[in-house]
Amino acid sequence: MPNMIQVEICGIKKNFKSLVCYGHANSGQYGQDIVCAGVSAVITGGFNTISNPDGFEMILDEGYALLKAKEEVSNHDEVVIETIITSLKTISQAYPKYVKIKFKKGNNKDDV
Amino acid sequence: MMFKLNLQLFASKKGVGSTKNGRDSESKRLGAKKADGQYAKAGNIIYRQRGTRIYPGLNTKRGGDDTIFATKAGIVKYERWGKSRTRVSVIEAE
Repeated sequence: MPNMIQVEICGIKKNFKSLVCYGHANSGQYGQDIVCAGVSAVITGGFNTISNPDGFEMILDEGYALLKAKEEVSNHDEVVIETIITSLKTISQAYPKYVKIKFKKGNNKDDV
Repeated sequence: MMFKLNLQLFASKKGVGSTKNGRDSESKRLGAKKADGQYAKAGNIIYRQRGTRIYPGLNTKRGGDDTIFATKAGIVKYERWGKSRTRVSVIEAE
């Protein structure tokens, strides 16, 4: 697994399906990894802002985060997810070596 | 709040090393035991040291562990000796 955080996003806006974030940034020693801190803060804050947690499958673990929609996304949560994605893109722009974002089409069923 | 923040959630633990330092010996309380101008009796320890930071002068001697002690009663006197040395003497009271 390459030494970086990988973010895979499936579907956007109303058709949001899932967001998976895995890997390790390795931009510094444990406790001083600033890129990891940025991503952790964005993901944790975003997950906590979701207004309808029951409408999602949410996992937040060491080196792995999953946000998977079980039903259509509400307007509020659509904005929250948009914010998470934009924030992650912003970090990825600044630290391309440590964060990589991939967008997948949301229509085929074997996407996460 | 559903999730608690761990800012190192996506950091690898590889970098966590341990230090091999962290040991030290018991301090030996070295240094001056009698100050300049103080009265010292014969046998009193004046200066604890390792090596000769202070040299013995009048009415003082150097012990086996380089400790300087008085051989006569009197007033302790620290003085420069040569270019960069210091010695300590005991001036007997008249």
